[in-house]
Amino acid sequence: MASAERSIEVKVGMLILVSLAILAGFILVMGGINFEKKFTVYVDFDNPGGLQTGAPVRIAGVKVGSVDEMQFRGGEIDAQGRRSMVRCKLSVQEKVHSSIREDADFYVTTQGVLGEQFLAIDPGTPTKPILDPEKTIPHGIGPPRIDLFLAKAYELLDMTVTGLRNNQDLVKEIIVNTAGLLTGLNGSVQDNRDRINRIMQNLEALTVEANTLTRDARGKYVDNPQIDRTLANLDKITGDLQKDTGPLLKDAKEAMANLNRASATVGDPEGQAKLKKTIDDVSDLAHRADLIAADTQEIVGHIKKGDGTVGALVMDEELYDDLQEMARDLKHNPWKFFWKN
Amino acid sequence: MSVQSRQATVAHRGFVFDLGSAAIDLARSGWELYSVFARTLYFVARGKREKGAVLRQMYEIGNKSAFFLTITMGFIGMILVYQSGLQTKRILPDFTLLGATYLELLVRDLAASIGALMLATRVGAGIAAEIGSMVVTEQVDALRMCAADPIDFLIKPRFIASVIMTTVLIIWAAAVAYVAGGATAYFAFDVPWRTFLNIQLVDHGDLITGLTKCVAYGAAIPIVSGYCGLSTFGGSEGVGWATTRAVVNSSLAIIVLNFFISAAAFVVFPK
Amino acid sequence: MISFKHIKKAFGPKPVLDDVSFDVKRGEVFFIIGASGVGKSVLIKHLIGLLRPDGGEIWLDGEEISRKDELGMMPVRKKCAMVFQHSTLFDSMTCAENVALPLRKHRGMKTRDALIEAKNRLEVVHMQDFADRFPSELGDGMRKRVAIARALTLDPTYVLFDEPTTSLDPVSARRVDKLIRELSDKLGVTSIVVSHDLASIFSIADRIVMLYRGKVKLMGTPEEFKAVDDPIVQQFIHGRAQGPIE
Repeated sequence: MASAERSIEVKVGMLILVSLAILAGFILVMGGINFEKKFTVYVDFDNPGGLQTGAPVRIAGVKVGSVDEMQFRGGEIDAQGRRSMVRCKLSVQEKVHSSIREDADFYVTTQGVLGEQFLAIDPGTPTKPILDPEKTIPHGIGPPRIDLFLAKAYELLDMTVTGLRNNQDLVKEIIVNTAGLLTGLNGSVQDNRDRINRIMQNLEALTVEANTLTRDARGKYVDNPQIDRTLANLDKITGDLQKDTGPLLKDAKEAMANLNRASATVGDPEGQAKLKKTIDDVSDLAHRADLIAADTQEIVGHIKKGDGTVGALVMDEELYDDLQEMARDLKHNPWKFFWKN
Repeated sequence: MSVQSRQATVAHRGFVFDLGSAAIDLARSGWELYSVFARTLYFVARGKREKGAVLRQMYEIGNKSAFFLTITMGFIGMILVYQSGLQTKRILPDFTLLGATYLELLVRDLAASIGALMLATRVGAGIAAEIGSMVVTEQVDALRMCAADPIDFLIKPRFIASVIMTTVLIIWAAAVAYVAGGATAYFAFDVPWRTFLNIQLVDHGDLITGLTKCVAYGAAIPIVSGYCGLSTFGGSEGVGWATTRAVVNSSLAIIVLNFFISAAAFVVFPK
Repeated sequence: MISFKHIKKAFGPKPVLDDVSFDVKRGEVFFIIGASGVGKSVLIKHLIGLLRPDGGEIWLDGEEISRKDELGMMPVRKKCAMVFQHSTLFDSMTCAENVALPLRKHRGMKTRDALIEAKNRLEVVHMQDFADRFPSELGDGMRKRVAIARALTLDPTYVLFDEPTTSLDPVSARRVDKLIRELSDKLGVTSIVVSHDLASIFSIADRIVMLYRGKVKLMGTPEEFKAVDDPIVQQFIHGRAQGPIE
């Protein structure tokens, strides 16, 4: 019986050993780069997105380490006066330390379209000194918040569409008024061309009297507190417009900047082209809004300086009212800048 | 009592009575099962050692099931990878993560659960039949007369052996299933070995969950089957019944345990 | 001395024992007889705690044992051993290991010592040559002898026999009867025998109790049984197919 007993022992022992070997091997491989020398780098993030502890750290696609720890600091200021929301502790192979420079970028991105998020390091310019993790804690770039961007874009689009839809008649009216205004202006100038010529001749002949006359006229019309008030109002209105559109443009620019980053990592060429076009369009609109504000400012400037005395002379109450109406409209509905015929 | 009222009482006894008595039976079985488990653990700690008994049971449960388990898990691995490969091809023909997700699924859940279900049929039936036939031939009564507690003498060695060998066998089965899956991926979908062999998605939480399941199932099978064996009655027909009950209840126990352990793992190791 | 007082036992709705009371004196060979299924085996299993009565008391040597738990029954089982109907040796052990088991478990003896002692015990029943064989290799008569050796291992004061001669050939059956009688005469062992072997009953019994429909029908010496006028008793002890017993 002893030999049978022994053979049973051997067989059972073998089975257990084989299994334990498989398990041990598996655990070792899971541990991965356990036997390399590592150093620690801290990176601060405002929002690291879906980055998990244990996620790989890659340089140019090659895994060189992993995320050890993620500590939520909630805006605390540390000993060196740095403020951070989330501080990530990275464990990186020592042998790649020398390639990470002071201006290296640390950003969170995704593998493929639906893969897990990992931390990528852009080594930075080779001429800069090597990053010293003891002294510097770089600020990482969070993953493109496509959700936020979409929300803002949607909001903007919604406002624009609603505004346009609700004020169709008003928009029509403005167009008609502006067209009318311009036609009126043109007509006036045309009709009075001979007269203006004659006045010019008279003025040339009677320079002194003309100067006195214009000086008086100026005193009466240009230095008029009413006109001053109107000009002051116009100034204020365009200034406000500038102020309102300013942040709007700034947001759009910021969104575009992130979009640019996003579009760089989005793989699809067709999508990229579309995104590019959208960016171009928005850029176009912004540029146009800028021009309009500049122009308006210029016009007021001219009138103020006294250029186009014609303007001063021709300017009457009706015109003033129209202008004020248009300016008020634009002030309350700034999206009308973006409407294209 | 008049005839009508007696009839009424009997009729009333019908459904509600059956339901109630079924519930009471279930509760009683549950309590007895728990008591078997508790006493087994007690004897593991304080019982008398029977030389060679545990080793013999380890051979019976482990080595004797190894071949059967290898074949079944090999085939199951092939089926799993083939089917999921077909699905992947339909949605997004990107097989880079096929090996990784398959390994994670194996380690976290499937190797333990499917392997244990296979083992439950063989090991559970064996234990219930052995113990059941001992009950109907009064050997269990004779054991009690000889001051050998049946749970100490019969169930304890099988319990220890099962916990160890189930874990061992499932580790082996997982390896077999993984290799079989890899071969399938290579021959059916041209996925190269280097791509398939991807441990990236498995973390220590998955491994701990899987091993916990192995231990839990290894404990459940002999306890449930032993209990069914010990509560046999009625001769050879009774033994047949006990064996069937053992396999069914062991499988049920495995599936229920799977749910609870997976739920706990989801809380402790969130993904 | 053993006393059964008003024992009641039912399996499900059917009562098997319905108010059974009798005494067994020290050193006698006491037979319990009755038709198959009347509850004889059930009755003696109560003595070693394999079953618990639904009602009534069982007294053994001045102690009430029917409500004791497993641990409390241990000393009772040392005093009171049982030879089961089908010998009930453990299939997975040799004869020697079978006999050694009570020594190891009850007395805590080491396995090696227990096996030596077991072989001695097997000599008493002339089975020492089969010590290392498995029960499945033996015939019925031989298995019965090993089972008796196992029951006698701890030198019990009471031995219960559940139908000891039922499946044996006549020669082996008489041998077993002789053994039981000798136990009583030579060692003062009290034997309680459940049987319906008429030859055994009337050759070695000191006293007999007959159970019928869950109750005691008659208790007395074999002579009293032969002499009584009850048709049911007469049908049984003469082994007649026709009669009031269904």
